[in-house]
Amino acid sequence: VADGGIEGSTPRAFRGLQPPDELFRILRKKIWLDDLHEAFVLRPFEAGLSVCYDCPIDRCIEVLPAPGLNTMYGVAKITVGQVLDLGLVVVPDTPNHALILGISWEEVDFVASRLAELAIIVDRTKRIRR
Amino acid sequence: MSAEPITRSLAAERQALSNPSSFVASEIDKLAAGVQDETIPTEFAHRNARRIVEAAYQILERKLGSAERLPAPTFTTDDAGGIRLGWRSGAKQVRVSFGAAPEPATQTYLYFESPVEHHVENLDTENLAERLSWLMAG
Repeated sequence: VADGGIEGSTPRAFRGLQPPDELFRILRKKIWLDDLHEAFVLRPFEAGLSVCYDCPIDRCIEVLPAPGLNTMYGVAKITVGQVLDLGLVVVPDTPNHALILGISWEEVDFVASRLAELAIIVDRTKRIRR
Repeated sequence: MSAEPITRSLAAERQALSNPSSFVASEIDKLAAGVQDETIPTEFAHRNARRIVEAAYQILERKLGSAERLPAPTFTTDDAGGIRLGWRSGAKQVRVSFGAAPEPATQTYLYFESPVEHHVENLDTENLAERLSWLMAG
């Protein structure tokens, strides 16, 4: 979807995220189901970790802007408050997509470990982008 | 849609137990040959990962008689031409990142953590062997 919103939904302004709000990290590699740490490792080309919000789990893959992401193996859930408690920030960039920012290169793995400890895998279904 | 459990093949499990050094080298080679979900790493990352990890395992084998007590690592890529391996034992873990190229050097590093400490170190054979030994120390 061009604007990052869920197809078929009414366009709306971004809302402010609150600590109890849930964020969903797509598990786009099968190995991430076994090693959640790797799911939260910031990649060299990334400014932040991509997450979905206000989005049914089975439609997360449709709102991700990442080109080439056609397959996912599940979803991990974490709350905005848990992310903020680590000294990070969550910045929405579309009505259903946000970036977790504030991860320094020296702390990529430390932050990945903390996020992996807090996150819960809520879905283990292989899905393919339609 | 289908749920797919993660399983390492029985043959790979046996190789990991009987010949850990050969196992890690062959798994790194598999990444370089192309693995589902992964970006093929650069030749630099492949060569560097194989050289350092294999040599570290050989040091452990000499030091301890065997590296077979070492947990099998996870093998993945950073999606930018680099290779990442991770070992976990209880609450301890060691992670290594082999960057796609010599520069920036910050993308090649060793990270370790336990409940009481965490640190990033230079990734070389000696440091990796020492940290894997630390991991096995319980």
